[in-house]
Amino acid sequence: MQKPEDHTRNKVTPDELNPDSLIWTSKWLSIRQVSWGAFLLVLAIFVLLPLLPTASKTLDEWQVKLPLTFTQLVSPGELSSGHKLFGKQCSTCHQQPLHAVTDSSCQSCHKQVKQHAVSSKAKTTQLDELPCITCHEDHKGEVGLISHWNDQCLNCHNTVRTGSDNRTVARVKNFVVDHPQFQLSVTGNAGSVSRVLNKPGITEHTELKFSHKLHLDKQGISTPLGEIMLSCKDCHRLEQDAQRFSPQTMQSSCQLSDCHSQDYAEPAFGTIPHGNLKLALAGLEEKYLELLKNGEVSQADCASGAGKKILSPRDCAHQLALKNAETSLVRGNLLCAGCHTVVPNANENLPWKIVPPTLNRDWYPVAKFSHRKHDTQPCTHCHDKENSKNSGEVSIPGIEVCRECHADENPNHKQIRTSCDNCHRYHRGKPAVQ
Amino acid sequence: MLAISQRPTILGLRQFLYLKVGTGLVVLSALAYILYHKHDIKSFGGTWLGYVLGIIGALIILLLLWYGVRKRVIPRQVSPDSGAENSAPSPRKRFKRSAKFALQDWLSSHVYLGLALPIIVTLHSGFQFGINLSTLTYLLMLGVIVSGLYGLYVSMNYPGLLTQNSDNSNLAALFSELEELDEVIRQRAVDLPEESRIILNKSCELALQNEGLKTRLTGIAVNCPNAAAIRHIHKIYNKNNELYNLEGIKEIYTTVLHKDKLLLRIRTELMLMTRMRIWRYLHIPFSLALLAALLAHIFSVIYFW
Amino acid sequence: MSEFQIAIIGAGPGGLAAAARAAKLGVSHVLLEASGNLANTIYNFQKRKYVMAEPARLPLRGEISFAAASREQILQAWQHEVTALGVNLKLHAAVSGIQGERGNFAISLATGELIAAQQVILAIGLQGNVRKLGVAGETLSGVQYQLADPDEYVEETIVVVGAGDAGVENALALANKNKVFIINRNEEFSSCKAANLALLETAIKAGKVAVRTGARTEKIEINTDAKFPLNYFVNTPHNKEIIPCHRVIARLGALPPRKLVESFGVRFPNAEPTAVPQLSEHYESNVAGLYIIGALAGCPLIKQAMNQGYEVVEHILGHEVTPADEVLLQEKFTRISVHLTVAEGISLLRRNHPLLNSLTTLQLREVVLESTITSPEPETVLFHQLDFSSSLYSILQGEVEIHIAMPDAGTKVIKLFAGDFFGEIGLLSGRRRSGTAIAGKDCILIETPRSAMLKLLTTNESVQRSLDEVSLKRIIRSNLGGEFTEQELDDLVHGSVLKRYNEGDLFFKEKDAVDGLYMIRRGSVTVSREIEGKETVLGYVAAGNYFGEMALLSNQPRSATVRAATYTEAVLLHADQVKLLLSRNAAMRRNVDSTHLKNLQSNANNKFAESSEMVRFLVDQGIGEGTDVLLIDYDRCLRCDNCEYACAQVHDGVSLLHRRAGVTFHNIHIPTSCRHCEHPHCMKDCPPDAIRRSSSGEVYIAESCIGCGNCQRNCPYGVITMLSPAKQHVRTNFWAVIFGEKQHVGENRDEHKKASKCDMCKGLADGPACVHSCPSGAAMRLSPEEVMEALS
Repeated sequence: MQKPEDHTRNKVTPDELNPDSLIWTSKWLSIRQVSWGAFLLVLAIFVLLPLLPTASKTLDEWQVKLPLTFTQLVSPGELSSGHKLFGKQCSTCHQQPLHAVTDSSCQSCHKQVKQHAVSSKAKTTQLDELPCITCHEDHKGEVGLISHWNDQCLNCHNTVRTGSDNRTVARVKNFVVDHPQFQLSVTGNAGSVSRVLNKPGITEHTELKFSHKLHLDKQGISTPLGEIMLSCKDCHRLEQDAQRFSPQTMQSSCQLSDCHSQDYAEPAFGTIPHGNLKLALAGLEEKYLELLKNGEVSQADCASGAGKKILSPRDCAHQLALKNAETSLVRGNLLCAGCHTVVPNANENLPWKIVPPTLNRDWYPVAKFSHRKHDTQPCTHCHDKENSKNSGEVSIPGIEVCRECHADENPNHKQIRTSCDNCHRYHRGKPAVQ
Repeated sequence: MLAISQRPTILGLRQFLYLKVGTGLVVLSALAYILYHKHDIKSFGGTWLGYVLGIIGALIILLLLWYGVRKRVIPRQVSPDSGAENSAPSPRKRFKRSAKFALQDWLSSHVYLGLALPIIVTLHSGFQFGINLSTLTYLLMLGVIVSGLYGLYVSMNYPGLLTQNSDNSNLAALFSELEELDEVIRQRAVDLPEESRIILNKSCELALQNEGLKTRLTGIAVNCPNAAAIRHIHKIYNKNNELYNLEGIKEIYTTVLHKDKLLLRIRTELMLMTRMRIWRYLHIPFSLALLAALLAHIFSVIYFW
Repeated sequence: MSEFQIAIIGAGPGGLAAAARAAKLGVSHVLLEASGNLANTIYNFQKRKYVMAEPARLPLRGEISFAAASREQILQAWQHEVTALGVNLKLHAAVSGIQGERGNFAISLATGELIAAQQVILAIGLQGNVRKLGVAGETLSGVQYQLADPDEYVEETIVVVGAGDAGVENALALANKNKVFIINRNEEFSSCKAANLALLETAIKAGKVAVRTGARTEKIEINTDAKFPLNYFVNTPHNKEIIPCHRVIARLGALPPRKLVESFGVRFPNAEPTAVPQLSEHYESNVAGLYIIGALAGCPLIKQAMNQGYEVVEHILGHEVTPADEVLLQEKFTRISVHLTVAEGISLLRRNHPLLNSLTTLQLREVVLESTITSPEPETVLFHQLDFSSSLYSILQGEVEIHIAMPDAGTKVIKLFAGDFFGEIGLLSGRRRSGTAIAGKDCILIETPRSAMLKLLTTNESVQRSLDEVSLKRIIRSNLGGEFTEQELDDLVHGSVLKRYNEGDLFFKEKDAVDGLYMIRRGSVTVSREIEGKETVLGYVAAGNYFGEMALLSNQPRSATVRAATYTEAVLLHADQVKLLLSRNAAMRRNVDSTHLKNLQSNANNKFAESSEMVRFLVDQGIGEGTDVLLIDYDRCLRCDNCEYACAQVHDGVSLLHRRAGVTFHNIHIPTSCRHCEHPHCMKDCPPDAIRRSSSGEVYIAESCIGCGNCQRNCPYGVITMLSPAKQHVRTNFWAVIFGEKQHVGENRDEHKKASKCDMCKGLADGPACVHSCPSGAAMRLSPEEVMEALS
């Protein structure tokens, strides 16, 4: 094709008006050149730059001074709050290219973290090989360092596991369907502790006579301060860990509203101290001595026939005190014997002994549980104590109560998602950062 | 006019096949996200769902980039029945042949997969952004898609406008018409005084020259020498100056007005063509930058595993 | 007056070969050459043109060597051989007359010299004598009648006389570096191709070529002025003018040799310009002792002419000579199941090929040489319905079944036997085969290609007549459907007329009286009606269909106007006879009625009327004669030119379509690209028969192209380009796309050019790359029927 050529003057031809020629870049660079330029630029910034610190230790150290380090350019997401401290220097954790972060990286700080189980007991070395990053992946936001997902646990616990000590760990696939019933730690005779499956009707030896029913009477109970209605919290105070309650004491629990003030019976009125029977007897003796001195009690009240000799006032007071104690303190339904088990003692001067109560505070000692998180519910929802007359009746809820609200990882809309680590701890011992 | 025009466009190709494919991918991704996304952590793509969505997204990006290669590398696959001239050719086989996966299928899928991409990739990101490569990659992708959408708009609308504007003619013909008009103006200008002649000659020599990108994009030339010529001729016509031959002036006036219309047509054509092409100056560099960012993104994930 | 045993006229390849043989055998001879050069036609080829040696399989005989080589090499070798053999060559010896016959020929030369000879071999070719200016100064140096290398002249003033294609092309080629005047005898440039005219107009507009129309050359004189050696005097209707110039190039065409040859007493079979004198098998004409060889004898190829020269001399000397083609013919006959000698084969052909009955043995041999003789296994499919193939088959033995699948009436089977021929509908219409041909038992067929058949038809009237008669009957049968008795058919054919129309010619006008039913054998027509004073196209009817039944059935005058959309041949059946037949033949009546109904419905559909201008545009652009046209929907086209790019990728770096160069109407753009015409213009005059049509319809150029450029000149749509094979075939691969490898398309003058055109990416699985690689689906390749369907 011949094209009409310009013969007269400097004239624009259609080809020169080719739109491409008017776009400024095309004067120097073609689209292709611009494109490959952009390609190489991006590669240089995001591949070459982040690689440089790998090659040079000095550069790696130096780059921390920058507001955004070379390697941070390719950070896939926000670090957990604890790791932000050193987050500018990726090599802190990413010590070896093409390899995942190793435990040694983690353990340079986290020195005392223990494994899940002792591998010799668990009869598997698999646990030792599980690297930290199995559950602790970073770059997932400030609080995303711990994986709360059950898959990893279930990987092992989907079969019955028996350790070398013949302890078995049951098969679990799903909290709702086949998680085994919880095991209670209950107190037995003489303070022994045994583990039993949680079921209704379990009792333990508390060596304390106490009726929740009586104290929680809806009509209220009469006290020196008048008629009052007690609530659980009046006696049970949650500890800091929100899991356990502080131990009940005479003072903090029983002597609220001036109840159980431990008055002696007539004629020796007064208060006896709690907690030491010897001291209580001595106090009583002193009281009788005083009464003898004042003549309010006559020497004749002493049983003198036995030795035909007149007893000294102290001996008389001692005799009277023992007598009093026999009737009012240890034999009646009030005072010591009202709550405690009193047993005879071979000592002539202290013929009784009070068995110390063994109150259990930790029925599920290894589980994590927060009462605070459950304070939307009344205590009695889980702990059926309103009709309990005997303090030995265990009212710790079993798994079925949990399941009323808690489901596994895929709850329906009325349930709460629950993962293993909501109740179970993974690491043995307590985590500590150095 | 022709029933030819009622054939499906690249958007409606094969009963919206590629729209369906794109929508299907989006729906599947969204379903997977809803079912498997662990809502309590900021995933940043680092879950198996994230990886799967990321791989799908990367594959789509590569496929879309391959369009640029496919457009230029013409397949030369030899048909199995060629060579054997007389070995039972099926009747009208030629028309069957053209029903295969053609470039317009590529373009159609390019459009719809490109539109599905931001959704899939957003799900991949888990809606987490930051100052890092991943977000840059995301932004580059958006840049490619936005420029591509503009390209789609002009590609769907401007060919018709171009056809209307050129009105059975073409640019070369318009230019030769322009040259003829210039010749007429030049000849008529010979008898005019110096001042007018210079202005008219400028119109002939400089019209369309040195018009920048702005003119090409808007179709409006601010200092068009022909517009100056029109104003000038109009002025002297109104002055009724006896230096001029009024009839001649009238004729020149008609001619420059005609030329103005012609220039408008040429500029409109160039404007449409420029707009139809200029987006590629963003689309293609963005695409390759995206490719680089994507490679770096994948590389860094593997390198800093 | 000198006397020779053999006088050879024309020192072209044939003449040279004859003279060389005579010289070798020591026979007294003279070789007369009108020009000053050996092989003047080749001498006038463009410089360094590569000359092909076709047909490659034909062995060369005689003393003169010939193999494909450049013009210079060939001429040099021949000069050398002629001198070495001692050929008695007489240059500048134009023959003006020959009298007498064998033994006493008297050859008079233009110079007045008389030469006596016993035998004459006429080998003057078809180029004839270049027409001279015929004015004073016509032989001055600087006045020339050809242009070998336009680049030879720089910054000269050149007058080109003659406004035919040759003149215009020369003027255009020279105009780049010279000041050119073109002298046209007429007021308009009507004798050159449209494409050349367009280029010329551009060049004139650009001031590169100056024109003088209605101009006559008065004389040419030597200019004493040192600046211009010549003064060219020209008379125009208005004034006289003297153009000082460096050079006058006159391209006035050649005097056809026919008149001259007839003046020697040689008879031609008909008045067709392409007719070839009737010759015996030894190339002897009706004048005893006057032999005609080479292009004038219908053998335009160099090698054939040279062999003929050798054979004629041998024959004259009484030597037994088997034609050079004997081996080739024998090969053809031995490849079939029954072994035949050439003579047996030829006689079988005579017996069982009624079409060729009237041919001379020489002509028969030629037909056989170009044909294929096969004995296909029974059940072999020769061609399928809807295939594009246009060769003619004749049954020499056995039978063949033609299966015609009807759209709604199952398959019709026609049995043909020895003596019948088939395939003529495809041959004549240039369209798809109308049926599937399946070989029967013990079948021997001769398949003659279209080109050979067309040559035969133009040279032999009786072949044409018998072909017409049979094809008419078949057309009637296939068109009208019903069962006819042979008698009825004969009557119809007898009363029918074969009519030929050029593009735009009227068949009949609205309201004309009814003359009959037209069946289109070749071409296509548009049906239009006057609506609001404008002729509005309503429909399009292609070959293989009929029209005119409406008025015939309704007994009303014509309801529409019908024009030829391209060159069209139609058979007119007389109205009365058709009516008579219809009244007797219920099946046929039903058939015609249903067509009638369909046409009525389509006429009622006035959407067509809206697109009437579009139809006219499309017809103007050659849709009427195309089979597959590249259309671009400009409302979709992104103007990205990926179609051209794709085309270039598939075709060695050169795009065979030019998107911007085409024409547009509304949203339809027809780029410069091949239409794959029913009767391709390019195929018309291809010496090596390199332009072919594959069975799926693609018109393509085979490797054997000799680069003569005939096809390029013959194509009215300007879609053929002459290209040297690109120096480097850069095919873009993945890496080239990535790194932007540049296309390397070097036009290397040293290499011979070949014609290139769209082959619709024949053989590629994905079809035409332009369509397949159009991102927006704007490009489509459609058959005219599909286009017209899309219009309605």
